[in-house]
Amino acid sequence: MSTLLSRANSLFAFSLSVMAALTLGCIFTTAFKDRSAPVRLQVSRILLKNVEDFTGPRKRSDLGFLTFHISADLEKTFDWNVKQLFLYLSAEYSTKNNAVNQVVLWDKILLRGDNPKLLLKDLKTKYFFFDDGNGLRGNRNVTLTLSWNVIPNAGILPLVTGSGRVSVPFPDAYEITKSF
Amino acid sequence: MARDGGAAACSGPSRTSASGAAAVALRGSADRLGDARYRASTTTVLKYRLPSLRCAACSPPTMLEHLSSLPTQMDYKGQKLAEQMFQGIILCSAVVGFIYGYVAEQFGWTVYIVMAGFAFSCLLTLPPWPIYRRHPLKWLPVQDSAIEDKKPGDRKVKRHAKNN
Repeated sequence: MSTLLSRANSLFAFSLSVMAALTLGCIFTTAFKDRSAPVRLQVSRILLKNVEDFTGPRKRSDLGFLTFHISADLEKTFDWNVKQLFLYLSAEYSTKNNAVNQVVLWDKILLRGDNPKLLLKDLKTKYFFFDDGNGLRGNRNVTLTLSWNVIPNAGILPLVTGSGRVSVPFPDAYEITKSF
Repeated sequence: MARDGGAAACSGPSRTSASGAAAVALRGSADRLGDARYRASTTTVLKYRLPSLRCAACSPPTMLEHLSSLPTQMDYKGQKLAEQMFQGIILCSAVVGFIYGYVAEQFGWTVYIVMAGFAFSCLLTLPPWPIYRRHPLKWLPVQDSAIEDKKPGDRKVKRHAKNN
């Protein structure tokens, strides 16, 4: 503590330790918080095609196009330790080839400061809804759920599924638009 | 006689003056005078020798004086005060920042307040303000050690002069 540099060194190291302790305190205040929220999903149109699958083996597979609406109030999930939410819509169904199929159809990054009350209408799928085979035609039960990944300032990244879900049956024939 | 004896004397017992009781009586009074003269003479001798002593035995103290003339020096009590001050300032700003960030729901404010506390304590404790120099170390004065070293030497020289 007798030279300027050693004083500066101890001052800086002390500030960094205090900052680390504050970050740990921030983690503890939000570690056990429930991050789920109610979600309302609606599907308005479904179109099914059978095309050559360019994402994998070149056999003809089912390709689905959906138009849907999302309404969710995510205000309670934002707090001082949340930087952004990564939302994604996933479809889950079973076919005779695979018992469980999960496909991500759409995603969105919701930053802190953006409007947390989502009222999105007529969204189209961002990513191709390819099936591994021809399992979508006539599928009775394709369930859409909205989930999100909470990205904090410091701490663990929890993955939460919204409480609302919608199940839609797919059309039995190709190139026919089914509206709801 | 007494004066001469006193002037030439360095220590009473080694004087070889004249006869008997008168000499003793004279020696008694002359002793006192002689002591006074001895003290006076030694102080004059010391004053004569002091500049050379300062030059010879003084190099460590001058180096320390040079170090303490550098602007970043603080004394020990000042260092303790500086350390307590910056720890207190940063802890206070951390508590205030944590509460404010929690209430305002922005962790960025917590970081800004702690950084402000860091800057304030830098300003307050890094430069050596005069409050950190209020208890300087009390070094021993140089003259004490010089007198202790040179007293037997003086005595030796005086004895030689007396014998001669």
